[in-house]
Amino acid sequence: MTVLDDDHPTDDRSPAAGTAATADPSATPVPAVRVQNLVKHFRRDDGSTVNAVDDVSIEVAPGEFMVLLGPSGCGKTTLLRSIAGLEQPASGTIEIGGEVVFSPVGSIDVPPERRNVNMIFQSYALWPHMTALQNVSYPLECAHVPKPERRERAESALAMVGIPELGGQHPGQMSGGQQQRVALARALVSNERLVLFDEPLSNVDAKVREQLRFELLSMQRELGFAAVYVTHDQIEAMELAHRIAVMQEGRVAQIGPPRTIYDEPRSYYVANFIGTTNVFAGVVTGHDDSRDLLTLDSDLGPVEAVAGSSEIRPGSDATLVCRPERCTLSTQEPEGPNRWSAEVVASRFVGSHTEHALMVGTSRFRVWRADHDIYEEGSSVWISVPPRDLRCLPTEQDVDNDGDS
Amino acid sequence: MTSIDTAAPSPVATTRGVWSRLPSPFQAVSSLTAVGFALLALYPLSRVLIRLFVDDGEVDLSPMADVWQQPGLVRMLVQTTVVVSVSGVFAIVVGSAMAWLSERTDARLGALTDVIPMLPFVLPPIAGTIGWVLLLSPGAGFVNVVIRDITGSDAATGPLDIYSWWGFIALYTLYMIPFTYLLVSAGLRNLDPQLEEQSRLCGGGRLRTLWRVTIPAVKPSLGGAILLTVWFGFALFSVPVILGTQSDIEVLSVRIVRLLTFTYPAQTAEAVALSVVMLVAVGLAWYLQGRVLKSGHHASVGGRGQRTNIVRLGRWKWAGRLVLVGYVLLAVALPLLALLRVALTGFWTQDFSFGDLNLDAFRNVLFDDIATRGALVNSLRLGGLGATIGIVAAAVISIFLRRSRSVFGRVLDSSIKLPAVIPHFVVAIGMLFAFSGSPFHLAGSFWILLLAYLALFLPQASVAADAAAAQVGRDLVEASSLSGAGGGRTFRRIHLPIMLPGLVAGWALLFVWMLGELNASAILAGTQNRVVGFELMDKFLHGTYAPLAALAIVLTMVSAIAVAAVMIISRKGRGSWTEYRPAA
Repeated sequence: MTVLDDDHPTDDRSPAAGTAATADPSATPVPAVRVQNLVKHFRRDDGSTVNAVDDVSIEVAPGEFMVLLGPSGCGKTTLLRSIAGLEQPASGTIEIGGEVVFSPVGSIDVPPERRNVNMIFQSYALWPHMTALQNVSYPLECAHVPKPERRERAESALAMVGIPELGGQHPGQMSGGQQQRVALARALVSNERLVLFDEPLSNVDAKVREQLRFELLSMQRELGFAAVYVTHDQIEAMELAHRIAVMQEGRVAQIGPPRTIYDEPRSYYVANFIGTTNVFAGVVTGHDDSRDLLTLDSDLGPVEAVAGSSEIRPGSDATLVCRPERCTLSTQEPEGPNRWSAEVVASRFVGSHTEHALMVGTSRFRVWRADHDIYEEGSSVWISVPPRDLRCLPTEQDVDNDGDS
Repeated sequence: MTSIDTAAPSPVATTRGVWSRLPSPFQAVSSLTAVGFALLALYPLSRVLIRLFVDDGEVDLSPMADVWQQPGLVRMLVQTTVVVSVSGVFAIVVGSAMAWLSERTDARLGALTDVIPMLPFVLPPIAGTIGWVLLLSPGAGFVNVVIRDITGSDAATGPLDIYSWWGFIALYTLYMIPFTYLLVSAGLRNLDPQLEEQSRLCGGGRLRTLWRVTIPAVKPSLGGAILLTVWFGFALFSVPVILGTQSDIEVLSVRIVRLLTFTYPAQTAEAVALSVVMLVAVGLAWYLQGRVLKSGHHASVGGRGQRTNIVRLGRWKWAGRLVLVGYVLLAVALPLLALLRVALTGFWTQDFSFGDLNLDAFRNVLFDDIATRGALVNSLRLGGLGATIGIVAAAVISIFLRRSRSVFGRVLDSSIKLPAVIPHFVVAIGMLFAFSGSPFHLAGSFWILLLAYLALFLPQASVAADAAAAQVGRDLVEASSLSGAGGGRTFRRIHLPIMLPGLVAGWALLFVWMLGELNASAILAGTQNRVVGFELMDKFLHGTYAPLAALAIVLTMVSAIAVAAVMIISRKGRGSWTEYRPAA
């Protein structure tokens, strides 16, 4: 099933495909970072261990922007810190730019200062006793760059992030957004080929965040460094990433371009975490080979849906999900499969679209329409979903049947 | 190609040397420092414990038996217990009241709040006690003379006598109060005032709130205060050695020093056995404090910076202020004035005229009397060198231990901090055993004092350094590593500058402590290697009052300058960046 194979990104935003093809089609490019079977556990006070990172393998191509996305406690930050060398994994290997920096075999563990990566911390971690310029030139100082060149490069880094005039200021005199820019300049000044980001935008207000996100994106595309970016904000992930790795309890639940993750989630966890989704339960009854569609008996009657996972077999329990904007509403009964009569609970205009809250039997539904029709409360309408937009996923334990994300 | 299925390193991977995490040079130096100072604390103590049971390689339990044969032992122990416990109770009551006054009421006096705990450092107990003897000695004491003049009494002595039970208890209390005050006011500051406000809203009156909410909440602080008063009270030497000269009250600390230095040959074994009594007393207090901490669900709630609703005392406000100002007068101002008067007139005399004032005593102490000047220089050198080594070592160790949270690290940390809860005498005796004989042969030297001071005060230095190191967020250090800096560079460029204000304050406190130290000095300083505390005691015992007073004032002035520097540094911080706290 081609839709499931998202290790071959077809998205034209992927740099791995682009650079490899232009340079030498036969050679595999040396990945910017390559993590294999990484395990990191923490010991709890009661002596039990928790696998913060549980057998994770991930590869980031040169120039690629990889986002690690997940709720707090899913292991994304631990994974990032392991790449940086700030945590010591229990097992697995890490290579950066083709060089093994961590491997229990031969007990290799390169200290952070020799890994040729830089990182932007959630707190920015600017040294309060140094000016912006001193902060930015510090990595160059560590690399023994001669003084005049140091100053020149630090100044141009500050200019690049848009604050050339703040070089003489201390962090304490700057706004959150300006501090963020200094941290960015410091991480980029030494031209590392891999830069790590630990939720760098979570401490600035919404407007600045949007602006910085945009600038970060264009800077990354221009300078061409590989980025690994940790966030719990799915909008941020969608906007920045070439590929997103959705993490769940220390494992990678799904990895792929944003569009694939959104349109073709392989599990309810991913569908629910990325965006809003409607959900109901069913049992697979058969497979229509000619159209490659499943038929199911659901809480809402018989439906047709696409298989979202290879685990789906006839007879298995399934969770059915569809995106609110893929549903259509009509006052007259439409043609075709997957149509249900629903009662309107509320219709709200929210700007870009109108949100309708509906009840189909005992299932709640949310539908977003850009046509801005408003339905009266208590009136009945028809919902319909094209079979291609209704995905059939394995039923997970303790599925949150609410449909809210 | 998929990223999941290949377990072997990719063929293009290369390894630039093998980097197992061998300790970097900086880590090696800091771990060696930590181990060295842990040994400096542990080794002498172990020598004390061994000496209890073993003499010249043979098991010998006779010291344990002999100690009970000493004349007047039981009487001495009872007297010690009475003095320490009665003054301890007074100190806790008065200190807590003062803490409440300056933390929770409108009697508070701005800067004085922070000055009170510092007072014993400004005027060390040895100098203060001598000041009070000048004031309250039954014959020539200035206060007694004034009282006799006013009442027209013809008596040659009295009515007050510092060489008495109440003299002991008053001075012990005076020097214990800063400890109780400091701990209780810290407890009150951390107590969320909303807890008290809630009690008031629930209908509890002011007294009921104090009794049911405030006191239970600061119980851990009170426990700590009890521990400190016991620790300090049993070890206090300067007060009893001065007052004991003319009263028949003898306490443990004086007996120990007497056994070690005033008798010949030194009765070391008996001194060690007695110092164990001291250790037991402190251990008992420690145990009790642990019980207090365990028993309750204490409010360690709230952060700082909540603005407390202060209690308006109305007419009592001035009474409250009188208590606070009165303490400063009694602890510093009055004894200092007495010392000044004696130093400037050149005699301990009732006659006073401005015309007679002269600086002869100061000239004598600072220039003419070579022995005294030597003691002063020696103390300054010890203080300067000891404080510098101590605070830098404490900073290195503190950073090292923050990074390695292993069991080994915790053992090192507790070892280094152990001398804080052990009477200084015991540590000093241990130093005597450990370093005076072979292979070190440091008896009576500058170096044995330096080692003793370092062992004694490194706990305090560590507390200061830990607090300073806590200001350096983990992110700041990690960001430096990721910028390519090794441990040494990170220490120099990141840790030190940020910790500097805290370290300078810590340095000044260490300096002052070492400058006025008497407990260890009384045992370890030889006649060839005098220090200021020892010199003061010696001058008092020989009755040379004017140079004594002059020396005490010089000591006070140096200490006061250092303490003032601490206050200014810790209050003002340094420039704009100290206000900056990285986002959470």
